[in-house]
Amino acid sequence: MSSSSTTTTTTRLLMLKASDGVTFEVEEAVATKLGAINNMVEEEGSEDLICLPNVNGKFLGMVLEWCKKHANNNTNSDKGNDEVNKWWDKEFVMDLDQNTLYHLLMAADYLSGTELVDLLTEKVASMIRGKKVEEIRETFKIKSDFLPGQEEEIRKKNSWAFE
Amino acid sequence: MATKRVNRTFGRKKDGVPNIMAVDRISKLPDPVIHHILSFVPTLYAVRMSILSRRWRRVWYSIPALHFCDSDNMGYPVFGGQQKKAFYKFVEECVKHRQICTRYITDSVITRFKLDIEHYGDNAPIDKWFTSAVLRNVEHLNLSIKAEDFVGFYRLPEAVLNARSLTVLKLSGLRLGNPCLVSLPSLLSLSLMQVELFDEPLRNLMLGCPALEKFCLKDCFCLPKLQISSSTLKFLEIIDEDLFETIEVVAINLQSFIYDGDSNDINLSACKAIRSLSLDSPLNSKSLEDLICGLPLLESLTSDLHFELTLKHIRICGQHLKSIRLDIDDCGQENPEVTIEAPNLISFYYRGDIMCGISMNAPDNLLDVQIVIEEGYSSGQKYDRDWYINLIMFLSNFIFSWKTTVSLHVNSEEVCILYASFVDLVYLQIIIARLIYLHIYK
Repeated sequence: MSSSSTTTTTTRLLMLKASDGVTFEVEEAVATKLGAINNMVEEEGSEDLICLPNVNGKFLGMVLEWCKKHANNNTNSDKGNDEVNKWWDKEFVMDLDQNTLYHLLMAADYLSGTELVDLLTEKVASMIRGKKVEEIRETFKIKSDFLPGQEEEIRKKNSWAFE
Repeated sequence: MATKRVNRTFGRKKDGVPNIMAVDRISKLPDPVIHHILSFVPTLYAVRMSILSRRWRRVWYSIPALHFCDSDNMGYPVFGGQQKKAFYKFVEECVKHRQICTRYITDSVITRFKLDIEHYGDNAPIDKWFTSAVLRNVEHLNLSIKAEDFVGFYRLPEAVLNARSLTVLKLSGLRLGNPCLVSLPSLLSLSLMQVELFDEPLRNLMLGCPALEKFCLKDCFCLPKLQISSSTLKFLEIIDEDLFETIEVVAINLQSFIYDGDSNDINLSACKAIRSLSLDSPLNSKSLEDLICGLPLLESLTSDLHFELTLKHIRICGQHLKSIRLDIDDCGQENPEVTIEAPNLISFYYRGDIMCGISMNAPDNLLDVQIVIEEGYSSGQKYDRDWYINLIMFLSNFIFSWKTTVSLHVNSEEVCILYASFVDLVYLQIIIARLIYLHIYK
């Protein structure tokens, strides 16, 4: 593709190993979008296999897919790229189920992928905004563990928030 | 298919393996992640979530961003009945509770404070909330007042204009009138929208922000002659509706300038470091040419072009230009000419009529060319042989290298039908000597 000429000078491949033993070979420019990997490369170099015991292969794959898209789209400074990235991000989070969303968020947080954390937390926030407490409870399957009457007590005490 | 169905019924059972969809995941997220999520949610929801479970009981005490908005995402008021009173009471209580909890919760810093309200004319409480936020070293402050009449404009308290920790300040719908002393030593980004602003307060403001890098000015009032000077400013965006007659910017470190408005007197002669220029203005071709010539480091240019009867030619040149985007809405009766001299150009975009003659000796590194052909609305374009000849004439002014990818966007399917029937198209392909992506859009 057209990006080949710009990346030939910097293309170095990193080997990442997920908790379940799945390995990924990615360009350094892609993987270093993740703060944690950037730090590891800076401190220990990029020759060795980088082990990530807290991330499962499935979710590491998804995180890297996101990084790859954003690393590619950032190389050419076209004005329309912001739009493309936004559109792509929207698609990326659109149909995520809560289980995937949770694991992705944990992975992105662990890997310090700041922009990805922003994207995913905003997605969760959009599932909260505009909802009544009961709807939030239903959406996220949150079970109340208050003692009988305790919830009512908090509600009363903070009546200024529940009118 | 069969296994899926089995799984689904299995998941619904009360005993056995829990349904993956019925698991509460969000409560298991670490605190910082939850605080991050709730930073994007109006504080009202975060407070109400305290009755979800014990896990959520005190979460809102540690959210670093407070966001108070008196209407929900659909525009309806968040409190029924005594709307104003209830909303003020709510903010008051939140600010108070967050103040109290600093005594026993360590991570209760407030870095962002946002207030998004209709204007009620009751300023004392707002002053109090802001002052309290400033005292807690808030970094981002965002105030938006939907002012219906401009009589009762809100004025910022002095504490805000002297907030040492403030890095980002966004204001909308208020007045920066009284000349009080401004000292915002950490402020990096300032955004003013529908703000009433006179020369003197603006000058004070700029003088009081010695670290300012980004400044956005949108639809502000009362300044026929805008003058901005700052030695630290890197990004400047001005969007106005026919308000400024002249714009003068004195900013030696300015890198990016965006203007969208009706002024045709823009002076950037003191901003030699500009790398990116984006204009949507009625500047004529001569003024634009002069403006561009005065920017030796320009790398990216986005502009619409306006030609007058006597000025039918523009020359765009720059040693560092890498990206050019040109828009021509109306060519007029005469056919204007554009000459481009940019030896380091990488991408070129043009939207407009094919009657405009663009000549360019494309450099080797030009990778991406996009041409969107738009005919004047009135012309009722026929895609006949003449049109193709014009297209060929138009394209033949470009001299592309083999590496260049050219995509051509045309707004009618007719083009496609005729595309096959003209032998000239073979010639067309020879001219371009590279792939043509033909896009039809409507």
